[in-house]
Amino acid sequence: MIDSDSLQRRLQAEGIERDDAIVELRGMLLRGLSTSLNNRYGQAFSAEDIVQDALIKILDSMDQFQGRCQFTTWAMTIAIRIGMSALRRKYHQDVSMESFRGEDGYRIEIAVANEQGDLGERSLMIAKLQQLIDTDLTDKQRMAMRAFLAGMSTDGIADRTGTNRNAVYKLIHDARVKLKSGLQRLGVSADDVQEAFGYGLTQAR
Amino acid sequence: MRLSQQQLSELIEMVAATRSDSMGCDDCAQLLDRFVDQSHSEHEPIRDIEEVKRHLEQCKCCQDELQALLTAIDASEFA
Repeated sequence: MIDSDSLQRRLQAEGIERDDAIVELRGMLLRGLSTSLNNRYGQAFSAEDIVQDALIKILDSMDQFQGRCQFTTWAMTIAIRIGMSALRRKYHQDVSMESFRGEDGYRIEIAVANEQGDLGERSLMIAKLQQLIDTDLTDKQRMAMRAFLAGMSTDGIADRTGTNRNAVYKLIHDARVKLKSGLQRLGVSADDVQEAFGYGLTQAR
Repeated sequence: MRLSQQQLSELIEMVAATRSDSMGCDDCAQLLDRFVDQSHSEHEPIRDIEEVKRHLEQCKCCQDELQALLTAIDASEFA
């Protein structure tokens, strides 16, 4: 078990004491990242590279540690964020946003087949949701939603659109709020829709 | 793009689960370490804990990072 306070103190010392602490921190990060990130996103993963980047970032940011959590948790949080971002970037590197653009632009089409039960209720809800997607969402929101529903992470979308994850999250969240409030405005609660479509959706191909 | 059954289900789940969220990913990332350590009584509790929880419920990227972080901390404790 690593003594978090001791590790932090020794990292701020000098000479061999600090060198030993860096080796200890490196080992801790290596064990954590190797276990946690291996095979995540179905990719081969070199923990060594990520740990090196994380070590540099942690050592450069030591003065920003405020002691509001354990030092080891703070350090591992930095390392995980670096590792996850790198993995997501690699996972999405061959995907272009243009691949989500069809002849109909970034239109999102939803459908339900006629042979399913509760046809009237479901068809009505689908029609209302489709109307909201078409009229209330911006083209940017449809593009982000489309990519997200196709499996891209907000990190990946941010990379591909030259923005940041925070902005993409907000873009998608605002779209969700618009759809939810739009449905309520049309007399349908989101729970009604969820209940009606819990099972028996038709595979749209 | 015509949504598959799974994508339509995901869209409906997303819309149904939407709640107001004043927190972004950057703010969440700033608090994630404290969120993980909140059970340690010697550390100051997070005032915005409900906001962090609400963001985590709605943001898959941050959820994934939390899970990865918890797994990494568990694994790192065995030297």
